[in-house]
Amino acid sequence: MSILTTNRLTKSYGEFKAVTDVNLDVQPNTLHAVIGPNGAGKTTLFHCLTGVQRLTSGRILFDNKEISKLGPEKRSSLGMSRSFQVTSLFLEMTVRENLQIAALGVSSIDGFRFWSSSASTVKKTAAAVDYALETTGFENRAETIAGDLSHGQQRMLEVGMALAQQPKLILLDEPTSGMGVDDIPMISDLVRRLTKDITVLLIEHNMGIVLEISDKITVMQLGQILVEGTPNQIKNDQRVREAYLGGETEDA
Amino acid sequence: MSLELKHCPILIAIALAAFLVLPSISLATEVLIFAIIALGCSILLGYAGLLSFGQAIFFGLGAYVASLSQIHLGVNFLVGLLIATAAGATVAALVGALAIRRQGIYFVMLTLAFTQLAFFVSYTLDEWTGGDNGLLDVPRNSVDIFGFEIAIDSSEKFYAFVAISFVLIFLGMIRITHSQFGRTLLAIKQNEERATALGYSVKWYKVLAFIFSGSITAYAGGMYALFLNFAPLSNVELIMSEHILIMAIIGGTGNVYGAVLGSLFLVVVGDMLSAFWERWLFLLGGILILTVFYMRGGLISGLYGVFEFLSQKFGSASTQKES
Repeated sequence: MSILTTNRLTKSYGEFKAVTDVNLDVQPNTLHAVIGPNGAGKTTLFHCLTGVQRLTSGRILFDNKEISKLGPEKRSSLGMSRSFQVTSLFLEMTVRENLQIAALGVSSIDGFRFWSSSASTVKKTAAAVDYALETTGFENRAETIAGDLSHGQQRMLEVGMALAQQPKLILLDEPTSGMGVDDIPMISDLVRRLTKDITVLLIEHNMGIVLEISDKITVMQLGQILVEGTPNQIKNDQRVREAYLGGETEDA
Repeated sequence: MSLELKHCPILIAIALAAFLVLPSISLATEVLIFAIIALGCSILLGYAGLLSFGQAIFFGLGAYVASLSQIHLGVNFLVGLLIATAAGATVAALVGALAIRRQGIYFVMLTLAFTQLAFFVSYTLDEWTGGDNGLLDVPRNSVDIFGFEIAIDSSEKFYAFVAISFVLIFLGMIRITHSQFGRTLLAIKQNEERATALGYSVKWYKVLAFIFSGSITAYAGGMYALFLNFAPLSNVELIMSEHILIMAIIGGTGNVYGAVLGSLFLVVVGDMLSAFWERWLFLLGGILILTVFYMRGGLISGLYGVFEFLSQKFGSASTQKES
């Protein structure tokens, strides 16, 4: 049974169709990647899935619930969390505080508790925060201010924020973007490990990583699905090679 | 509970010190009232990150409602103030809910527009508000509970009442700023997009911040009218919003005590300087510029800096005394 499906998802801006009739089918506990050259519609698709943008037509089903019309703030409480392509943290807060805020976001009431001290409210997040700290390797840096972390570490925390929400599905938007080559394995290892507990939908332009860690890959081109398959099928697909002009496939 | 235990003595000490040190009791009264008003502004600016020119609306509203309910309904001053607070909360919810539909500069413009609107409404309804002349002869109807009478008919009694209000309101706001709600507001201020993605309905957090801010501002506005026995039209003028903002910014918005310093500074320095220099606001402009350039945390951060310096110099003994 799929955890996330889209049914003829279409998003147009006036005359221009950024995404056309996309049917995605994400299976639980897998790592599903969406790739494609610039302008393929990956980011638009991602924005529709996270609720930042409304679809023009089509449907999104998450965990058998129709979520097409829900705003971004409603989706996280259903068990769907995201990371940002450009690091988006609470830079003046510590790593732990960032994760606490993330963990409390799934409850609709906890953030409003103005009558009791924040220390007593965040107690209930301890398990979720510890899980995120441990998974992302921040145990010893929990009290560091997020703004003082290196770029690579901020990218890790970016994923950690989504993890602290203990979601069923995590949507990662180019988690390696802007990272040095040496730091990339850190993220790809982390993402691979996640599928033990949760489902990962990954938007990525780095073909090498995607081929290495994904279970299933959807290749997009000009707003449509070009081809779908396992990394091996994708690697040997002539259309994919053409779409990428043979450029990035050798990047790995 | 420990939070209240820690801050209650500090607040009482401030109220006592203002009474004992300042040259006149009316000056001390004004300092405490404006401290509450500056605090209302710093909840919005320092915690929710909302630069609002709308504080005069709640200030003026509180003054009118507390006065009119006593005059026309004959309620006692305490009930009058509570009605004013409720009115402040309601109008703040409305103004807030509308203004936060836009962000950044457009939000600021909307708050300006609402203040102008409130001014002209007050000006037009002169049968109620006295229009340009202001609302005269604001009473302080005493409270009568089972034959036990509480009157605030002398300036000392009035000061005591203002001081109690000051301590309670500050304690309440300290509770709120130290709560998860306060922390969530800070998170929203730092990164609204992320907060939304994490599941926070940012809109309602801002509206609630407006409600807290508007209700304490209206309460204080009511006290101010009772203090003057008069509710001038200038309460709802744009310049009052500016005055409140300057107070909050000079004092420092990240900390509730910044509001006390801001009020103390503007009320007392204004009182002293205006006696022999008409154009003292000139100086205020200069100080505001300096604060924004060199002391972004306001006077309170400067004060903490001095404490830190002293405690480093004289060891831990002084730290304990200051904290």
